[in-house]
Amino acid sequence: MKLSIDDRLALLKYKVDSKPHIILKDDRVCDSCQGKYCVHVCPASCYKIENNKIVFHYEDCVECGSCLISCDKQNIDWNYPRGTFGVNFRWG
Amino acid sequence: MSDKFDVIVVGGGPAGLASALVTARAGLSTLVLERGDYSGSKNVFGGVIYTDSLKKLIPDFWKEAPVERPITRRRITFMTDKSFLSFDYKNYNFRGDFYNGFSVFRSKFDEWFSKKVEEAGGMIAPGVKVDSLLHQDGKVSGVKSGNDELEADMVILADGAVSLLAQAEGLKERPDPNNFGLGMKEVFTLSEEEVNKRFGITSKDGVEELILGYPTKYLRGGGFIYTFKDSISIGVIVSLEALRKSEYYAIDFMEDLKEHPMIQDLIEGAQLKEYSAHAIPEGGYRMISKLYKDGVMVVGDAAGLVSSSGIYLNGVDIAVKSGILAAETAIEAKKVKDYSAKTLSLYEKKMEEKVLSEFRNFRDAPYFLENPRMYSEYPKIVTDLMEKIIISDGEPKQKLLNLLKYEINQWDLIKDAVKGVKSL
Ligand SMILES: Cc1cc2nc3c(=O)[nH]c(=O)nc-3n(C[C@H](O)[C@H](O)[C@H](O)COP(=O)(O)OP(=O)(O)OC[C@H]3O[C@@H](n4cnc5c(N)ncnc54)[C@H](O)[C@@H]3O)c2cc1C
Ligand code: SF4
Ligand code: SF4
Repeated sequence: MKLSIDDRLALLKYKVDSKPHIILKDDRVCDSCQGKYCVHVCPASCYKIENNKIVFHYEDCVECGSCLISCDKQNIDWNYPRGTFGVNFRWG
Repeated sequence: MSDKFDVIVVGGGPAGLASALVTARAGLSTLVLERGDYSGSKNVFGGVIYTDSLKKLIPDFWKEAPVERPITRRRITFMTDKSFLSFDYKNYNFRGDFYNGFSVFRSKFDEWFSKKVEEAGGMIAPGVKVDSLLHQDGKVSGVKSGNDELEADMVILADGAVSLLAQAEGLKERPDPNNFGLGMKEVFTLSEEEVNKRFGITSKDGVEELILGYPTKYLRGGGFIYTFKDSISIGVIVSLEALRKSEYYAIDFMEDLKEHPMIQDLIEGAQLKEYSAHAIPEGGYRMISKLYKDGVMVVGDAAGLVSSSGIYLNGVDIAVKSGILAAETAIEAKKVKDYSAKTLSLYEKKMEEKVLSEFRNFRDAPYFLENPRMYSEYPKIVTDLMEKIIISDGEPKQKLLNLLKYEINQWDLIKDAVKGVKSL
């Protein structure tokens, strides 16, 4: 039986910052983006397509950097969360 | 933390901690800033730590470090949806006469390593994310975190694969998806006896397995399995360039791999402890950043240094190696009290002698997966071939190579086989 990504993310320990560490710069750039690479590469499903629009939420981010590396429109304002915030791996 | 440090290290992973250990031992005032709650809390790898560089720094480190199993057995497996074929190499010397590598968990190992730095007189400040570097007269002169500023004669950037700071300093370019893989990993607990039984090993052994084909959906990259004392890790590393342009989604790879009967047998009844992911630089020589400028040096993944000299990933050992060489350079610079690019260029010279030459040899073949046949065609070909040889169907057996009814150059096949065996 396959586990959903939410089931798997639920195993992780997070200290979620109130301030997002990743922001999409311009919605219109995403609207017209053909590749929508971020949706393919994010291992935590932070990017979703809803009604043909990219919906992003930062809370589940595991800080891998894949979206930043893959978006060639450079539409992602990417940073790590502030010190101590974000994901905490125990079995890395 | 008001005084000026000799050295500030940004990032408390193996590269940064190796630097800090060496400079602290030499009496340089050393501060490590790590954004995680402790060293290791942000870090993910397969994983095995090869002993080469670390044992030079801390002889017999395995006697006190939180290591899990010595790696005594390496397998390369070609896998399709219904079968697999493995090359299995075992070296009994690796049980102790010569420890080649150990499986570890980074959350424990990096933290242990950070304690060694503290014992040597270095300072570790966890929970601090460096936002930018300070400059004075065109030279790097410290770091900035939020509103806090800290000054140092030298800064060592050890901030990992997505080094935003090295980019901001113009030491490297925007990351290119061709040069990065996305690694995803799951860890499962079993009992020690069950790990031994399922892998056919004793408690003195550990397995490292690379799996080509099915785990990456035949995209560039590979799957991996590592054994720990009473747990195992299973993962996939897939090229970001291949993944982003494919029809697939990262979140499906682990779930699909776990449907494979070989993997199902390994994890049956095991408890999933964690799912994690991390980027990995895999561009080899072509992606190595500029290594220094006035007041700053770059080490480990931040400089793009993951070894490509085989099909096994060796990031930690090279990270430690580069960390040591940068630290030795810092010690020399401190002696002459000159932290300019001219003095720090010694680091590149040392790297050239000890590390970069090896990278250059493999410039065209970052961990031999640059050869697409390895993950796309061969898994199907070799398992098909085995099936044809083995299944008795009453038909007379044809000559081996005649069975290869694939559009593949046999000369390529032979060359690749030689390369593959060499890299074991
Ligand atoms: C899936 C996967 C499997 C791998 N398997 C293996 C393996 O089996 N064996 C092997 O040798 N290598 C393996 N590697 C590679 C290896 O993990 C890396 O090469 C190694 O961790 C590099 O060490 P580093 O110190 O340079 O960087 P990292 O280990 O990434 O450490 C960087 C540190 O800097 C901190 N940091 C980042 N930015 C900041 C900031 N702004 N301020 C403060 N701190 C910051 C991070 O929190 C982190 O602790 C694997 C990698 C992946 C992704
Ligand atoms: S790849 Fe970049 S531009 Fe395209 S949808 Fe994703 S974030 Fe937007
Ligand atoms: S950094 Fe990784 S986990 Fe976070 S949003 Fe980007 S792709 Fe997803």
